Amino acid sequence: MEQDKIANINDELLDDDFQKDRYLAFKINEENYVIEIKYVVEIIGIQGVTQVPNIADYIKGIINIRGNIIPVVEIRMRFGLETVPYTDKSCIVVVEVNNTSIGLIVDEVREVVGIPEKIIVPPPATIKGSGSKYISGMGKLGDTVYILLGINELLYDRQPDFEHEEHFG
Amino acid sequence: MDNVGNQVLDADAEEMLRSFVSEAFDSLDTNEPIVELLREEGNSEHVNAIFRVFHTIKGLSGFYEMTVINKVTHEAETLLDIIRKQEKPQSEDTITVVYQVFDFLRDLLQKVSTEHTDKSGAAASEDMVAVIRDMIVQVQKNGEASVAEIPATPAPVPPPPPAAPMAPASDPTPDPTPAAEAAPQSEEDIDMSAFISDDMMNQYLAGAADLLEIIDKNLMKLEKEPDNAAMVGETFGAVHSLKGNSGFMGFSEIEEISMEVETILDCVRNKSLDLDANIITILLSNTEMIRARLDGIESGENNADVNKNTASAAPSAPPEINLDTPPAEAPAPVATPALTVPVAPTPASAPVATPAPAVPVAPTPASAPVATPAPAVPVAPEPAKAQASKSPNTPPSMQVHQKKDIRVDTAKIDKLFALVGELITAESMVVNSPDLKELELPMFNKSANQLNKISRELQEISMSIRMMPLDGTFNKMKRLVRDVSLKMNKHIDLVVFGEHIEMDKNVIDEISDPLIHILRNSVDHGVEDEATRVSRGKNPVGKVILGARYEGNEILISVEDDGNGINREAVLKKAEEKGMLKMAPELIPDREVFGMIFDPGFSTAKKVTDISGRGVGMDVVKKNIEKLRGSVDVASAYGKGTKITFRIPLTLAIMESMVTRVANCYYALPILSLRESFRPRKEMINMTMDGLEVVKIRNEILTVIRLHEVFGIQDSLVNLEDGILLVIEAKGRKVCIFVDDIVGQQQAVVKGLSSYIGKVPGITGCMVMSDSSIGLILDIEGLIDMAQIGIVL
Repeated sequence: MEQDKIANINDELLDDDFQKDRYLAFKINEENYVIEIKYVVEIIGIQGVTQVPNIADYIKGIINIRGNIIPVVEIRMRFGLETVPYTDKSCIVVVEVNNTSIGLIVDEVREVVGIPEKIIVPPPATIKGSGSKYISGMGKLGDTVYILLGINELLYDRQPDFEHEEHFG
Repeated sequence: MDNVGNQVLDADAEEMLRSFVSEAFDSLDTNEPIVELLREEGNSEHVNAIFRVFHTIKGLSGFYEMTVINKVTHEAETLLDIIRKQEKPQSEDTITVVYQVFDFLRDLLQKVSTEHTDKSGAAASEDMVAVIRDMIVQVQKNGEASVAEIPATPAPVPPPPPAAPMAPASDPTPDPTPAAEAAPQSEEDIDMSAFISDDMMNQYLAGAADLLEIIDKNLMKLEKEPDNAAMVGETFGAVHSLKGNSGFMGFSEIEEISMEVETILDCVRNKSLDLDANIITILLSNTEMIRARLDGIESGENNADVNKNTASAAPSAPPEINLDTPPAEAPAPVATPALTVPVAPTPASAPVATPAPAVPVAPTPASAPVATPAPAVPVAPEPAKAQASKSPNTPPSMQVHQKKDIRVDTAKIDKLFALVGELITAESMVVNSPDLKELELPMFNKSANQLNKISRELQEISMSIRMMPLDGTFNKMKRLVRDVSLKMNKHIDLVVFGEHIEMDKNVIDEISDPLIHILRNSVDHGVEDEATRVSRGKNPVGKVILGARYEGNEILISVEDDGNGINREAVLKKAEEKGMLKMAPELIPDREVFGMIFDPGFSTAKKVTDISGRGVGMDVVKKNIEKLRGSVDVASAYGKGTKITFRIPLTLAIMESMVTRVANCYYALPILSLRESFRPRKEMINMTMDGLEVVKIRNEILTVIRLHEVFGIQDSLVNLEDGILLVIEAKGRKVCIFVDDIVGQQQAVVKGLSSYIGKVPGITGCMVMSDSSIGLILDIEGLIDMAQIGIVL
């Protein structure tokens, strides 16, 4: 079931033609987040992550995908959330940014959604928590609110100092 | 002269332009070291080589309508031509000008590669041309002065030839046409063959084969689109270059055949001849002939032999049809001079005794003056016995003359290399598959062995593809040293050795900048000025030695000078100011003191003149070398000189490794740095009062590094007696590392940790294990450094 869904999404990812306004939706801590589909390479199941000592703690380690070594970011850690044990829904979303492949561990992959630009609103300034710096906008489709993540901010901004902040989310 | 008409940059044209640029660059790079030899006696071979560089680039640039390059090379060619006739060692000034031209051409080529034209260099080229012209005048003057010394008559044939016995000064602007045309043919033949080095010959052959291929390809295209004027022009240009080169090399036959082809194409170009299938066939058969000649030359036959062979090969072919008067408007192709198909070789006195089979004679054979009952062989059905029984339509790939080398995009090679790496990993996964554990598989094992043999060989070959000798880089360095020493007004004797040593191309690219840096430092700051040297009782000419050699599994590249040396005290003082000293200065060994000049903190110093100015940007040198998993050593004696050595591992990508385990993590280390491993007994272990563990092996006391502590690994063994100690050594320093267990030996395909992660202390990279999990590769030196810091703290 879960695997069928992932396989379908992976098929969709191969279709390069319709990238505009399309996003990959995934869940973290029951919230729906989306990233632009153009960054997403594929989705794979959770696999053994080799820990690398003495690196930023949100980088969980490295994995081997068909001979390529790819670092894996634990999004929960990046958001300053508690980590939870992986479930059968947990996935690694492989993205490519600046010619570097990076895996993102998410709680669950939902679907590919089209979010028209005109319904996207800037993030409310009052969002608390420094995690908000990764948010590039929000869009509501039906009853669901999707939080748009800026991939560069998410991956490359310096680790915010969570010591003085409430956890976001 | 070789106007192509319109130069629309479609993909094809761009590709050709690229190949022009890269060819020209190649030619400049390969021949640059020869420039230096112009100052020597008996330099005619070198003069000719350089002449050829300019001539070739001139020809090509004319063809590609690069007028600025054309102009400059034309002048340079003139200069070289005069030098050639003088046969004298050349002055420093001349050599400098030639170098300048080389550089200038490189600039222009760079422009061409980005802008597709060299026009933006037009203004600068005026100066260049002026400089060359000045030099021409100067060289002529020198030549006149000494003209009396040269015997008036040229020596007879056999002794090394005075190239062209013409009065050197009489002809300030020699005919711009290729050399061969300028000089009397007969003499040229003899003279040139004596000049021609193997290198030149190879270059010529490779170039000619390239040109032929272009010509053939274009002709095929033209058959389909005969009105493509640009294509005709292009082909003409290629034929013209071939003609020029062949003439220069003294292959008059090829030259003449090319000339015929050129003439035909010229007629086509000015529309006096329609390009139909017949013409194409003739042209192709001509290129075929040229190819046959080239084969002959390559297989070592001289011209005469080729002549004979081919003559006997196609005895039945009709003699040469040769029309000398171009009829104005030739309606039927047959009548045009273009059709001077130098057909085959009845002993007809024609110098070009060509075996050309295809006689295109169409309806009116009578119009040919030599009205042999020429078996009007129409177009394709060519005599099977014709040389090598090749049809002119044979695609180039099937022809006998095949190039020995090809240009390949390095990205492709890298990809191949990566794939081979994967293959080896995959193979090891299959062979060591847990499914096969404890099974008796004699046949499988046999096949697996076979597979292993093949994949190892594949790996070796794919590695060797990327191997290149260092001489290219070293030649660049010679040039650099020359430039810098001239600028600094110092006399430097540069000694180079080991340039034949081969290294991975990627590595060579990486070491180039560090080498430049070190060499520049040596000349600039290392070697003293002449007065100082004399006052110190040194040879006024400074000596710099650049060399490469193998040592074990490493290549050592060293730069040694006999200059100032590094002042230990000055370095220590500086280090103290910077707060870099971690122990009493007098305790620090020399090597480490000198090593400090590579420290980034040190390098930010504005200028450290008292230590030979070394230290600016040195950290970059070290970083670059470390990126290659290499290291930098410095040895120096104050007042006597300095030697800086890069140690670079032979192969970057594959390493014999020993895999160890700590808890559930795999750590691999290069087997070469492993000295021994053992399970320690309690009495071997001691602990100092500040908690430092040491182990005594025989007469040595070694520090213990606990990997689980360094890397913060949970759930590992804690008692040294339960695990394994490995003695590792790097650059003469030894430590013990503590691991849970040894897994075994494995050939590791070394991969970098992702750039996203960056540098990790104690880890240089990772490898994929046979069960497809990942092992981390230990940075032995880094670990030892950590241990030493531990001691100091």
